[in-house]
Amino acid sequence: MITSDGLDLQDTDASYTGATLGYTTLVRRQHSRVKGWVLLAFVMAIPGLPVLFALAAACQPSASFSHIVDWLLTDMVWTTVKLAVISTCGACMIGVVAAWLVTAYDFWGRGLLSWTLALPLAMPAYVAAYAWGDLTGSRGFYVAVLVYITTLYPYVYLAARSAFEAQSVCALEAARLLGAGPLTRFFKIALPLARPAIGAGAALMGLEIAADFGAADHLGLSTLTTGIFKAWFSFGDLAAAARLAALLLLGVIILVCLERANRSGRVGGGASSWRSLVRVKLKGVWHGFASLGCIALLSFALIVPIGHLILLAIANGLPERSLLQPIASTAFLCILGASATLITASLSAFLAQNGKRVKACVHVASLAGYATPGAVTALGILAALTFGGHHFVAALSGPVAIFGLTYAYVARFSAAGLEPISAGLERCTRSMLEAAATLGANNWQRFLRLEAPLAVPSVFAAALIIAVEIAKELPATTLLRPFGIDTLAVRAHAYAADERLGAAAWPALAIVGLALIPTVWFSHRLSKSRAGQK
Amino acid sequence: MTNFVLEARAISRTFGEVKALDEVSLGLEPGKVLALLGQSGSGKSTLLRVLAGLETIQSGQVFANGLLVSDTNFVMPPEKRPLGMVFQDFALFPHLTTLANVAFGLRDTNPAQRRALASKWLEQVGLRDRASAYPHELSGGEQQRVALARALAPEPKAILMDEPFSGLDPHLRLELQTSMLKTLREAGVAALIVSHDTQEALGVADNVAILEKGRIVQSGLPRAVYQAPKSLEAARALGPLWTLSACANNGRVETPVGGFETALVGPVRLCARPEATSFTRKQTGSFVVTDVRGVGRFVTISLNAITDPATHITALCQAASAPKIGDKVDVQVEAADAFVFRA
Repeated sequence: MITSDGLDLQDTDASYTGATLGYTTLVRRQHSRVKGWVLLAFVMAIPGLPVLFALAAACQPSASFSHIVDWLLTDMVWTTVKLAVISTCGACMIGVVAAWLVTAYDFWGRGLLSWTLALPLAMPAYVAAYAWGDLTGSRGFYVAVLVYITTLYPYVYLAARSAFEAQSVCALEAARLLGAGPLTRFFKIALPLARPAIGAGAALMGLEIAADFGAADHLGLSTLTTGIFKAWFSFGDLAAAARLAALLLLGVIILVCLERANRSGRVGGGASSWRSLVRVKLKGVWHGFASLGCIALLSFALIVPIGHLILLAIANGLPERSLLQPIASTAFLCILGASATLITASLSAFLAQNGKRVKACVHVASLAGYATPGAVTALGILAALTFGGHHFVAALSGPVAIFGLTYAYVARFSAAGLEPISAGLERCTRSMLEAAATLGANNWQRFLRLEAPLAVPSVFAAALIIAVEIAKELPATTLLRPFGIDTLAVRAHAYAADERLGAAAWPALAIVGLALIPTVWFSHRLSKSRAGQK
Repeated sequence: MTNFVLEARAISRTFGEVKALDEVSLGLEPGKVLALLGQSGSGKSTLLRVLAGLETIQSGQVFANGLLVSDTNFVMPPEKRPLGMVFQDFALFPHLTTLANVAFGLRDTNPAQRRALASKWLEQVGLRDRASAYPHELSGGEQQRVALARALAPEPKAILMDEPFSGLDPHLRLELQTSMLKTLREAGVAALIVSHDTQEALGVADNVAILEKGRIVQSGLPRAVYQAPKSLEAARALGPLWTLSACANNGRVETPVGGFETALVGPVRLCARPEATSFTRKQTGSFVVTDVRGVGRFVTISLNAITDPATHITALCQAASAPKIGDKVDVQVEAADAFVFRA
């Protein structure tokens, strides 16, 4: 039997807000349906077009691709796969154990560590690569693994931590009453329940490694992404670069499919009766192990590389070329890119309210843009802007390049804005809108007085995240930047490539400092808000 | 013709195959509280949303202040109707203070005037000192009162309330009902309260209407409906009830609790309220006590017919004179307190 509540829910699902909000809204929705489809097509085309152009470019004849296949391709693919698999496995072990320690146990420094352990998210892999390459005095595969694990484990850590916190303590307590020890509880209950979340975190990490250019390039590794750059900048061969990009895209698609498959058989976390876990106080040696282990992890990920870079920077003194120009360029690109991305993300978020299917389309589009490696998106845009790219162009002309770069940022980072903005819009429930209507507010007033003010904080948060992502971005910026415009990331990478690490440390530290601002804020807030709370 | 502030005439609304409202008619009188009773799924919330203009109808009409506001092809939007609404989840605006929430619907152009009016309403519901608090800082009872003040502040002709007291503590509920009733009477506003809780509705209602599968099965004064329910559902909606099956013929129905006159013929159900069921202890009694529950002045006695253990009834009695489990009793029900319905 369908209860009236059930009917109400069906209505809500069919169209998220305002669907049944009287006559005017009904009229408005029908009126805007045609425009809505155009908008939806537009939003979905943003990440799709560069990929199509990249694929079209890959079909062009290539002079050097046979050379690449003969001499480099096996090594590129093998290195990329090995790097991704080994680093992700290592980070999974470290991230999951750290997450379990801070959720299930109490030890010295737990409160502080639980959110600071997520801070290495602010550390771009290439910055860590400068520090660790210099510290260990060596380059190559294992330094890269160390760099990826220490900078990217927070993806797994955060996913695992929130999964552990969302788990019903009842299941764990039931296991305890049935005689399961701490290890059994972890391996038989907590870990299987958290598996889909951990898988998602690991997939994100895999995507980052596959797309990384800066660290792999600095450490002298030949991966698919560095191969794309080599094909373009060394051979001037867009078709060869596009073919490598297609291969990288195929790898990313396989990774995303694996993640989807891992989600199936997912079970609920027992939301029916949620109670917060009572943390067990660790005793003796274990207490020391837990504290020191987490502190050591944080040191390797953040304190040691930043400390080393600071020492290098001080020893070197300010680089002779002023950093004002890269700071200004970074600020300019951040503001331009973040504004364009925000507009697209807000449009997408509003569109997503028009029903389940539209919402799914919008989310798939933005996630596809995020999952597509920056080098692939940038290459597609490059192909489009150079009309097939038969001729090598060292740099695009100013306005065209800036348009291309902005497009790349929008395609890549809309997802980062869509999530918080959607969450902000969802703060405004259907009954709030209806209450406002019964209080005499019309469509327009409801938007201005209710929806907009409720969404503003999340729009600001989204702007901050996007700006930082743009400041950190290296591959797309390197490929598409107009002549004479260096961002902080590009400048740091250029110095590092010339082995002038002392000079590279300055812009690198500036990026980390900038990225730490929102990371500290979000990490702190995330650890305060718990499952079962809004 | 009564001067209804808000009136529904034969309105119908279907969702797919389900008839949520089926030719429903009702009217709200100024200063009176109408309680709409019914189980979940009976269409109460839909009716409320239709009246508010949040839902369309397929047939019938809704009039507010004598003006047509809803029919088959026209729905006056909720913001144009002279109605207030209190939502089940209160729907307070989280980014506004208590005072700003109450002031939201005020149309006065002068901000100082708006603030003054809003604080007058806050005082009315006893929350003057909470004016600058945000909704998340308020308790459930305080939120309910803010929602009420917010709905009443624009001085609507009628106010619609969707389960306004569900999810509140019982003692808090009683206190709020009393203060809300006082506020409504003083403002002279017609009110419609939707509830699935009989005690809650009867505590505040001047009239009741009972909704069953989208139809109003009975309406009138609470006492009248209580004493003469027209159906088993209506009887059940107004309080605890026991029933037993029997067969009627020749204008009478014979049961283990006595014989009653009825116009019905064939299988029937006889029902009565526990408080209208009396018994006397007797060794040859036809019922046996199976359970005694309750701690107050009155206790609930469960009784099974000795000849037919499936016949199960309940009775209320003073705790001091309660029988023990296993005692045998005879049961009596006055003819006026027994209702016979077709099975």
